[in-house]
Amino acid sequence: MDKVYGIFGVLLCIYFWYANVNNIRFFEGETAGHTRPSGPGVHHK
Amino acid sequence: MAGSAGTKPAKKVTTFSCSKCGAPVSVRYPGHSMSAVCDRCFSVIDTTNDAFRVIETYFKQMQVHPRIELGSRGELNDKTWEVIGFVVREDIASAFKWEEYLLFNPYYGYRWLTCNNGHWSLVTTVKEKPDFSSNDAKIGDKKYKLFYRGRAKVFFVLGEFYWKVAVGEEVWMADYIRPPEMLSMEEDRAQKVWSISEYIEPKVVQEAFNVDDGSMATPVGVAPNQPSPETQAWKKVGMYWGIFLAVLTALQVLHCSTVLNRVEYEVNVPYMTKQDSTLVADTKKAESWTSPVFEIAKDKANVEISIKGDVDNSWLYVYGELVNDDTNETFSFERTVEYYHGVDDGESWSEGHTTDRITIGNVPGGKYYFNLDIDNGGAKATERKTMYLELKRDIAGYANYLWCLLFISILPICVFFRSRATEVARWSDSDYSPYQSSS
Repeated sequence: MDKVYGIFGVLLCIYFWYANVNNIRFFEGETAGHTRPSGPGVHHK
Repeated sequence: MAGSAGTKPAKKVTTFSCSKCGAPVSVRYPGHSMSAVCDRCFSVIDTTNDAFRVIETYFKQMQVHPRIELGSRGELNDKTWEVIGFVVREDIASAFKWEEYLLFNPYYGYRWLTCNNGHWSLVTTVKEKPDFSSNDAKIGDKKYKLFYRGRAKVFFVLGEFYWKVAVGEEVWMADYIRPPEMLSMEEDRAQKVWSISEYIEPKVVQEAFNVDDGSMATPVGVAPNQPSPETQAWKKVGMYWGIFLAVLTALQVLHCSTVLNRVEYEVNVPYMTKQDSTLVADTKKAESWTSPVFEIAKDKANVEISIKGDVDNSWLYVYGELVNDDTNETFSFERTVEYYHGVDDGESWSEGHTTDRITIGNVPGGKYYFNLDIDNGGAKATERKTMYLELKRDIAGYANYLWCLLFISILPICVFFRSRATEVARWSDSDYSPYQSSS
């Protein structure tokens, strides 16, 4: 288990470095997330 | 088979009649054994001379039957051992009992095989005395933690022994653990003896001495010196975890120090406030605004767009497009800023914020302009206001770093808690558990 974890960790570190250099974001789907006006929440009367 | 001469010692069994009951008593290793127990009347007989004097006779309402037959031979650690004695000891404070089997090989001497709650250990006496600090004992580089200290007595004996054994004989005992080893001390008025026991899987003992399934006890709980795969895994995984956290943090620091993080465009955008109290942003009713063309540096990087609105118990909605003037590539976004405050029942409150931002990844360098649709509502009066729009190039992102921290931590956290659960179970019978508060 520790060997598998070691390999996973090394690969993750490499990919993290690669993503930073190449401006890749993990789970990029929400980069342009939308928001809408919601008004005052619990205090709205 | 380790078929050396040491594994098949020649035997000269001596048999004599019990001075108490007349039953035949055999001594397998005369000259080595100093006492033997008559298995009919449980008299302990002095075997050091031919008088075979009865040292003590004890009576048990219930005889304890050894799991390994006396006289059985088995191979442990590549050496053949013969079981010649059987002792049941009892902790005086708790009445907890465990079994000890005396093993003998004429070339290697004596060993003990102990059975504690179904867990087995092979015990070897050591001459080296440990050093102590607090509750730890140290032999060489090995540090053992105090697990048990108390008095124990002999509850039942059978077979022959290298000392004049007596039922009820009491000793002070202490156990220090370092799985799979346990350092034990036995002290009586005459001497103090140190030994190291090594955990043995029950199956190994069963196969070595050919013990049938019914005689083997099912192991209960976690033995003091039972090796824990979870703890072993945690030691390695925990070390890797620390290294990966350090590497990821170093890479993140490097990333933060090398990004451009520069304001490429900023402007105050005018709009007319509305008193409309509805909370529906409508781009058809929104004011449109287009910026002049500006330059974004660096080939491929993210941009962060910030919007700061002059909102006061009102909201401001912006639908925007960042358009490449050369390719018409468009990056659209929507953002709302809203800020409310007031006093209810004498208590002031506030909600929302006047600033919001959005990051868009992988925006090529080049000439760009903004198209904005601005809607708003809730203002106290209709008037001219401005909102602040800013575009920053090449912002350090933390999302990747946080995701990596999560991914890299899931397994170590699981392994840690499993290891801890095993260790808590191990120490649950100890008065010296590091997992208990000192109160």
